[in-house]
Amino acid sequence: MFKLLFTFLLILPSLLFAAPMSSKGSVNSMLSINKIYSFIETNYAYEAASAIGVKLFHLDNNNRIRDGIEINHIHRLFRQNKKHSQMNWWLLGGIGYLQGSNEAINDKDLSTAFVSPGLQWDYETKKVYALASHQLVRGDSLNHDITSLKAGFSFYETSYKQTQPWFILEMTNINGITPQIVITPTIRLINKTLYLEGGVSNMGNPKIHVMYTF
Amino acid sequence: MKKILILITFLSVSAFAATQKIEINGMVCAFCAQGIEKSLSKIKTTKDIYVNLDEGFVILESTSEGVSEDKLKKIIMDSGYDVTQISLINETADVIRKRYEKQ
Repeated sequence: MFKLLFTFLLILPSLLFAAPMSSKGSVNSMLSINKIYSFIETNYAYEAASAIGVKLFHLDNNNRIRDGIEINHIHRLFRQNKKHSQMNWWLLGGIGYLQGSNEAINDKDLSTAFVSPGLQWDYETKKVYALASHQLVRGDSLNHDITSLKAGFSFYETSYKQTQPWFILEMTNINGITPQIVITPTIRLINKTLYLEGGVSNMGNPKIHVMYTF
Repeated sequence: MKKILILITFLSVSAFAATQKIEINGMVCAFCAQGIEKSLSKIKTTKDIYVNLDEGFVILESTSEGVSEDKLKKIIMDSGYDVTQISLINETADVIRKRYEKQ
């Protein structure tokens, strides 16, 4: 059971690390490629503060393979807009189902359903960025808390049409699951509708994240 | 005669053209601001748009009379931002763009 929990929770950081949503009527699509985990996700902002999305993921950590689908909903609870800053509170929620195999215990028919409510706070100016998120994972034999912190700065300010580079430090802890806090220094590039992130964690896992808004 | 007609046509179009400056709170990154540009570009009368992140404003140049303040405020709010002021200005978006690009 521990292995099942461990592999399942490996997929969760995507719920925390993706930018929640774009403006009303927009479709936000993202692709993330990692050594052991990849996913493709798209969401639609049907209201100014709400979006619904779907995600497909594939997990392969050499011992086991997981393929899953999640339907998620994002709602902006509060936003404070100031001249040079923006602060948000987000309510996250998802339901999903995954199945796969676990060669280590010769289990070829592994499946579970899950729900994943969470809360996210973020703050951003043209020079600094910060995020704190806490998410519950509840399902059959699942009961965990995931905490994520991000903070970073922009190397320099840019105009609207220029590419803006950022340095972001990500820290994630999955209570009782991760052997250590996963720290991932990343470089983020933003150019209007395109958003690119890349980094390598202290566990040696590279990460590439691409997002595009239609 | 033809030149006079062209001149009259040009002047009448110019007379109805409008450029509006929309001052916005919370517009701190290009990834966010593109939603505003996208929404404004859907207005049929939009001729040109200039987004200035540094100063936090958007210039909307229309081919006819300016867009109503209520409509602009709704568009900006749907993009997730707050409007602090909307004003009419006597310059085109391109003139303002070039002025800031020189800085």
